[in-house]
Amino acid sequence: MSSDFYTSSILPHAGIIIKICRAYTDTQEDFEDYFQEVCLQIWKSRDRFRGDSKWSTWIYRLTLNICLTLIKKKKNNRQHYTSEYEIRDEGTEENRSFSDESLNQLYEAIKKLSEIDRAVILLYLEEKRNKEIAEIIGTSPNNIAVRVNRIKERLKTLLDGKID
Amino acid sequence: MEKSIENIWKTGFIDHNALVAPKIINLYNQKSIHVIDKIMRMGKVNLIYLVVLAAIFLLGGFIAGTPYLGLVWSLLIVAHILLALKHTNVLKNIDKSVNSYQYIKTFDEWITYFIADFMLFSRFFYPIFFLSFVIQARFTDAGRKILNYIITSNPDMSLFLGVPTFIVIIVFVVTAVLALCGGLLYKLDLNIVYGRVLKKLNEILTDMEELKH
Repeated sequence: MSSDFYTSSILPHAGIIIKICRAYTDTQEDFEDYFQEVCLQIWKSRDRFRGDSKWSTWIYRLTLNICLTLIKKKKNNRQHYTSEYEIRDEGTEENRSFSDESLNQLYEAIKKLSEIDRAVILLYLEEKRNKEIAEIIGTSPNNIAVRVNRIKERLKTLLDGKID
Repeated sequence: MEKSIENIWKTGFIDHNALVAPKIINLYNQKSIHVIDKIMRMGKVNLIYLVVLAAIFLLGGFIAGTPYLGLVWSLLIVAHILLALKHTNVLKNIDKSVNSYQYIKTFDEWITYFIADFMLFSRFFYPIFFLSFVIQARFTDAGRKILNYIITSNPDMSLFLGVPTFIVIIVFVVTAVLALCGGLLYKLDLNIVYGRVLKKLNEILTDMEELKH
């Protein structure tokens, strides 16, 4: 991957890639692996970007797909190599990645959501419009609006009234 | 004061360190190690399978009353195992501490040499396998009966060492084809078992080469 491509095409969107990768990983090591894999896949798939959507939308979609694929792969590997007890045990591990404690708590709550709900709320928090989220997730804007409300309620419950 | 999730999100990321991208280093370290480990694991399983097969051929030959055929097939498999072990020993000398590109490149060179050697070996393996089967068949009761039937039904037929010439020609042609195509047969067999993982190895190597430039 040329440093030019990384600097001009990936780095401006690194923020959202980091945010998404953080939401799908429990450890720093996994996070770095996911981030690297996303950057690599963006670079490898760059010729497939046809300009039908914005470059940023395409990156979000790709990042989500890669994270979901990696998480599925990881689950399968765990099922092969570890007992159910060990999976649950590892799942409770906390990863305090940010200096802001509220943000850490929010992330822990987001990680408790389903994989698709995580994607929806991350895009919502990035101030993406329902239409764009729907385009990325592959559903209708109405469905997204309903989902976002439901997710926010769930997050409130998970954060135990620490938020409005 | 309680905050909304939108506020937590916005203010949380004001800290610049929160969004520092990790350095992209040794991009393919894990992948190359995984793919090579997988090939090696598959190779080990294959060798165990071959040892079992050699034993089955040997014992099966004695039980079925065709000890020479069992012995020849078993020896062919043993030769295959020894050749694979010879190559595997060479692999042990590859320095894993070098960078992942160099490691995977050396491994790729090794596997290319391995395949070329086995393609040559297969040009003898398949014909000997076939010929030993035919020779054994010639001396079984069923084989003798069939030959006698053919010869007595066509008394004018030309014979070569007591066998109808046309059968000798067919056996010769099949053996020649097997000798010529043994390498291709080996590649076909290789692709069925290792095709996907070897493709993955090639993809990684291509990506790494592109990344270097």
